[in-house]
Amino acid sequence: MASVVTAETTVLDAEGLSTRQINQALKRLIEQGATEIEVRNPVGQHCLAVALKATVTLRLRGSVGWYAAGMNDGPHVVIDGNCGWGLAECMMAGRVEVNGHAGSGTSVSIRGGLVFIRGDTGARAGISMKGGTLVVAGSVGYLSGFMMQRGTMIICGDAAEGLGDSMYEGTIYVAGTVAALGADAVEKDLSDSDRALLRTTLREFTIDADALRFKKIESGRRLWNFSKKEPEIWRDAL
Amino acid sequence: MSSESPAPPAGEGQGSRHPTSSDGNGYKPLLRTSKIWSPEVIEDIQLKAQLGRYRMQGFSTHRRVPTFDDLTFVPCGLSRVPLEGYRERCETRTVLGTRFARKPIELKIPITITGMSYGALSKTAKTALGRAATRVGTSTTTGDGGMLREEREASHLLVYQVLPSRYGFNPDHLKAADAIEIVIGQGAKPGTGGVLLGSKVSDVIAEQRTLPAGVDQRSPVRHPDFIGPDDLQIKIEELREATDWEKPIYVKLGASRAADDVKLAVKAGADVIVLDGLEGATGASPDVLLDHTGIPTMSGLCEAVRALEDMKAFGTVQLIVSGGIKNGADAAKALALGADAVSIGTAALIALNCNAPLYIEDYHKLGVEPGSCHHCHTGRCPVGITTQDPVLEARLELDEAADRVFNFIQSMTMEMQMFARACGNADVHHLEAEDLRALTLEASLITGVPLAGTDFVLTPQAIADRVAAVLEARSRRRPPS
Repeated sequence: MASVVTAETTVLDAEGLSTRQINQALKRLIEQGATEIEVRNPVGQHCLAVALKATVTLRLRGSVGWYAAGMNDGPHVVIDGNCGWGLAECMMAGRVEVNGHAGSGTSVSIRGGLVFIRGDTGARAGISMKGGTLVVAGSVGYLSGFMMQRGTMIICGDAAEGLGDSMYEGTIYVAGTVAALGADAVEKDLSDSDRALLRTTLREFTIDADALRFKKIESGRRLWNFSKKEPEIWRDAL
Repeated sequence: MSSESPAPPAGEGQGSRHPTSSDGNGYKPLLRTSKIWSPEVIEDIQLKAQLGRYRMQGFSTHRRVPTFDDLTFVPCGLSRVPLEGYRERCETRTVLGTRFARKPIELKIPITITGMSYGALSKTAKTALGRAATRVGTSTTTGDGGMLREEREASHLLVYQVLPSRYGFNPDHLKAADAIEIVIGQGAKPGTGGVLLGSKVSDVIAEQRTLPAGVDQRSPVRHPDFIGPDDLQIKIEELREATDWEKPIYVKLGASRAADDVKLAVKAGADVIVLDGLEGATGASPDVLLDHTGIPTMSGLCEAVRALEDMKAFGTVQLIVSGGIKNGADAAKALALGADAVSIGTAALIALNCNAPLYIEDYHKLGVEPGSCHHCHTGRCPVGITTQDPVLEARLELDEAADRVFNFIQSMTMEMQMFARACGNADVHHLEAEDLRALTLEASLITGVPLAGTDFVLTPQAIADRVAAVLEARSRRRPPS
């Protein structure tokens, strides 16, 4: 198994390795104290770098498959390519940056940390987020932010139908067009602290967007508890 | 109507007379209750006219469905030799997860405790179940809301559920578990997510699930990061990678299209299938789903076994069935039909004290009597099991509760062993369908077990053969013309 240490970065060439072999090698390198690891030739393999609990920077040079960096707690993962479904799902803490597009179910149910997508994501981004931040420089697909519980989504492009459907709490910012808000998702006014957060984020990720153009979406809280006085929204929601 | 008009016959025009009234001669008239618009239907409509929504309830369906009670064992006589019922050794050891997992689960008995959430159940109830499972040598299971520390400490073997909501999901807990159960559905309401009404979403439960306190929590039914069986295959790989391929992966299905679902779960790489039938219970559900969705446990089991056989996975992928398992007879019959183990939920809660005749005034406040309470969804459980109210929870004494569940599971195990010995088996897993006869036609058709008193199963071909044989016999008896 080819792993080369150059200066402070350990290089793992994944050419010809199975998912199992790559993940075992990563765990071994982390146990040996590596703090910066570069994986070359991941060739779109699924389930890479999952459930890692460590302070390590991991760079995947190329596109990866599904569930990349899922269930992590601490690592900083950079993906130079595209990735499939379920990126960073259930992440507890850490940071994931994708210099490409991401598939459906990006950063679902994360409880902490930050996920950044340079391109677009597929449908259902940020479903059931329980904390943390998802920043998408491009656009998101339908039903993004569905049943969001906490945390922040910043969408610099457009959002497809059903944005923020049935969200309990949390905040979604969208710069572009929203095809349709989901059930009980409502637009709120931007506050000074919202604008400050957006400016900081846009600057950090060098995104060319105007913080003033963003809309802020939150829960209308009409679905929190059943009320027979509002049958329309419940009929749609259920 | 003039005063001279004859009075209409009793029960017509005037409506039914009060049941306690009499005609002065001690005669109480029969109530002409409609079979369509029965008192239950009338009550249901009028309640929904108040609620403006579906009804909610805990527990399970009130319907009568085909069950294991429709089967009977045919023990040994002269054709087979029994084991001494109270003495000879009868093995109950059960191993689950032998297909791919590096560390399969080894149980002392083929009875496990099913997933029930901390939230639906009190902490004391969850802890008591864990203690009982540990003493009896079996596993218990987490639920929607994640792993409770006390539950992990109490449970020697703990199965960690991965649910669509991912409430309380924590990769550390995943790694700390002994097996992983991906929940696709549950028997009480296959195709629909769980519910926890606001009265049970206390501050503690809300924080554990990252929800606002007091909200009516309605869990999603679809997983956030996979949808179909091909996705599930990759999800299973991810969970195996996360746990170094050590832990068995169960896939739990609500019994509906059981044969197809089981085949897809096997193809996706499950080590163990958990099939939860229509009789399966829940902490809260719309009652129409409890009564009108899914298929009975016995039916699902038979479909699942055929599916495993079709996939040449019978014996390789283990099968657990749950839903309405209430004693050792049910469990033994399930094993005879091909299950590797059964899982209990409601029965364990009843052993804890559910529906016990205690604190009767609190049952009355719920509008029920001990023995018929199904109000788990209210959070006002009189005996401290399905509640988050500390005053009610304090009514469940931990050590005694754990003892009762331990005793009950022990009794189930002994009952299973008795059936096995009576049928000549030194291992409960050696029970087979040949040891059974059906008591009803429907049970015979569902299970493929002959109706008691016959030696055949009523398939169209069997009917044709039987009719042909009868006609042939008659023609031979007919005197020559």
